[in-house]
Amino acid sequence: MAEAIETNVEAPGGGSAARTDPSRHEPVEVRHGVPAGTMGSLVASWSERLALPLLWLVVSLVFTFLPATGAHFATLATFGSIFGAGAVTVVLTLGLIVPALGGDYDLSVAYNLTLSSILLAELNVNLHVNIAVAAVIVVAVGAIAGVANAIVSVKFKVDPFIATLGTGTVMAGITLWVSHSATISGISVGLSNIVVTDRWIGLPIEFYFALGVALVMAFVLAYLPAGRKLKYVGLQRDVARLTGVAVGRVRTTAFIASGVLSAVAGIMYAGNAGAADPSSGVSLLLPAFAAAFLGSTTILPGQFNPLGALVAVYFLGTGITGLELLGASSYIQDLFYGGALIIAVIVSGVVRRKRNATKEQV
Amino acid sequence: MPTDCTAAVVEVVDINKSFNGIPVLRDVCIDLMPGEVHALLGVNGSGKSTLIKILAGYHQADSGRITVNGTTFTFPGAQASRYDAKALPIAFVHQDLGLLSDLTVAENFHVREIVSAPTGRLIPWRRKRAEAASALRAYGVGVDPNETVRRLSPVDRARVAIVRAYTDLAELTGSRTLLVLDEPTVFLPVEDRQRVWELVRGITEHGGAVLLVSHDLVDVRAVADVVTILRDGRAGTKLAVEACDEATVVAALLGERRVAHGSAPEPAATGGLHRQRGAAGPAGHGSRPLPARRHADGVVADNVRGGQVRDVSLSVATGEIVGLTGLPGSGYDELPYILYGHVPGSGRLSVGGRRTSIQTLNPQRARAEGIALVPADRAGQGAFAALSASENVGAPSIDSHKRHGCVSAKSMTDQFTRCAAQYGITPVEPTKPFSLFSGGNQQKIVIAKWLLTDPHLLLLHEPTQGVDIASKNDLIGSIRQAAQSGLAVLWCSTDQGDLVRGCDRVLVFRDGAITTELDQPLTADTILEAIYG
Repeated sequence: MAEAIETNVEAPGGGSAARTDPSRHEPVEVRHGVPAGTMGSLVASWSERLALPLLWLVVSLVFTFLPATGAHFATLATFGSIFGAGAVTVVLTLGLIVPALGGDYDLSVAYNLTLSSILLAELNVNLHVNIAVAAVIVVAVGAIAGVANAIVSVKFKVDPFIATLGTGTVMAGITLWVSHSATISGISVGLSNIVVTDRWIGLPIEFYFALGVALVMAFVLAYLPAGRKLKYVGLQRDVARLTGVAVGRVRTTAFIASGVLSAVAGIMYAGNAGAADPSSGVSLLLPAFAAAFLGSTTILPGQFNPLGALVAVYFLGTGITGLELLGASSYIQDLFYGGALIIAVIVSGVVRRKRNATKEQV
Repeated sequence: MPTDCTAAVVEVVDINKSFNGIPVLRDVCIDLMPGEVHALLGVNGSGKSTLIKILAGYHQADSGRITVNGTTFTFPGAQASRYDAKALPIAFVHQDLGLLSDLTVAENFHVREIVSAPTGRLIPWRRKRAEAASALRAYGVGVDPNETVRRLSPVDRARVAIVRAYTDLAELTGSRTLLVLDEPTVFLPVEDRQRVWELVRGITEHGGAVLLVSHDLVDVRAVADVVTILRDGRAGTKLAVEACDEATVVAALLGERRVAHGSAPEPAATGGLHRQRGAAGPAGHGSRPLPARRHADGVVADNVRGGQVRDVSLSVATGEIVGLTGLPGSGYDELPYILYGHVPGSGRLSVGGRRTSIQTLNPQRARAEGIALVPADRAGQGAFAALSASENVGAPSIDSHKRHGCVSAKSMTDQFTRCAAQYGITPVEPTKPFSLFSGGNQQKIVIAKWLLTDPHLLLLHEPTQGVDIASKNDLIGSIRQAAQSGLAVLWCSTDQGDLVRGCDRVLVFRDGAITTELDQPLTADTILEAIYG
């Protein structure tokens, strides 16, 4: 199944390593490129890691000082809206990269988000369930969606690309069913208050929440055995299995984490609007994929990483806001995100091949 | 085209190649004559694969020239840029054979032709099948051209790959061709290789030249006419195969390295080279004490079934190394994977007094029972190629590398540095990716990572395959030492020399069952007799 994915998308970190067969290349004792530890390689490695954050800064400055956009762009309100609107995508992207790190692409995340927001609205508005209770129920449903993905992909060994396309479409159907294809408005103001209205240092709380989730995830991936095991599974599944990693359990957990994060993103999405509609959330799937791949070219280049994803989401959001202030219509979003996804996948492939090439010169 | 049959098909003269200023090949000269099998021997890092890659046009030499059937390409230079092995009568068969396993034999024969044919042209399958069948028949390879490659035995796959490569060439240029065999038989059991060598002989009788890259002296003796030994990038020694006794070859292969690596823990290790095959006698084992008695807390497996294995029972005492061998398909090489829960099976297993059902075993539970497996497929199953050496060594015990609940990179680095010293892993660079270590050092890393988990039962599948002789000695020494410190070992191999040197007992499989148990004194001959007898 891993091969099936690799033929579709070049996964950062995985794939290529599994395919190089070291027994066939007899490595000769030669130093490769710039010896590690010198100033040159440090500068090169840090410039690669920080290229995207710097580019983001440049884009922000351009829009700030450009006469056409400056007046609106440099306001706190615009900044607040960029950071607020981005937070949902950040959490969704984080949900996406958990299974992606283990070699599974979960296409159902955006459908899960939409279902979650509708479910929250239905429970809260039509069934008068307390908003906090409703949120807990929605997260539980998100987890169940993750379990469903795991059952189809892990237990029945269906390529997750297909499996999650199927489960996602089922979720889209349930969304329409529950909502009678209509927008449900009137969600408790309490939710909107914590998500988007209340601010700290000028930025909505949801931004800090997304940042917190990204930091926790980065920590887990780097410093907890659970995170390392997920990486092992993504790199070479067979080796991980023979090393004693419970591959099925790791993948299942990753799908559940993905489901939970998607549901959380859905709650935030509903909070931002104070309402839920049965379709618009689906359009976040592409930005999430674009950010996941673009993020894999920065901070920790060559692998999906949470902080890279965060930077990528805001880079893309800033670009779109700026272009819209320049007068571009809403079609710019599709052009920008679609283009960004393609470029990000190409660049992440180039980054990965370049890194492998310096390792395999001999 | 020159008709002088005494002229070389391919002449390699004074080839030099450096990577980042470090010479890998120095003034290498090799003549590949028609009708001759020329073996290229060398330990890992001697420059063999670089030379092959230059012949293939993958690397460009820094200086020197290659003459192919009278056309000379001088490196570096404009001519050299025209050096394209695809357009020259040179074909390569690598270890992975390059067959598409889901296609039939006949389809594989015509893959290249179909790829280069105009897209719209119909493929005359009936004729193509007949062509493949007649090519296979001409070389005595009795394989159905309609069979899917995946379903062929490994030896037939190798033979199909060789016939395919050679017929492609023969169509191109008649008989003055060079076939480069880059260890295509490494994964074949020794006794199957004979059938490949018969095929290679057929090709040289047809007038082709063959360059055989190998680690294995036995192979070289079986088929080669001339041997060139590469050492530190120099084609130092050229020998007629008759002059290839092991002492001479080992001296030529290792040179001064032999002394440097002679510090294997087992005293007999260096001397053991000379009795790798056949020569071992009872005297060679006098210094090796057998375990006094079979402890009840060793390993007992009862009524094991699964794959080719049907109803095998065996016991291994703590401190004992038991070899498993047999013909291909006899099941001896499936037992480790069954006992590790990687291949489904049934039966009962007792490790250190704890009983387990094999039916419910999986690698994770096997590990919890204190079982470790070193698979033969080092790249695909043994280690994470892209991860650092220290993370590979630390991976099985990742839960124990914690400081304040976090995984500590330093803890893993320290562990690697310690075990590098213990097992002779070079270079001692914890952050270097696994894939950049040489074959021998990769295998040391894989074995070290499992020994560090302190298992009760170590399952080894071809642990010395594709490993240079010096590393082989280190590995055998490490395994014996680990066994003595309280470990039961099952050692699965077709290398009789290694079994003799490594094992206390050898169990010989036939048709999924143990038919012979061999005790000390072990010799390669008695093992071979038991396999075939």
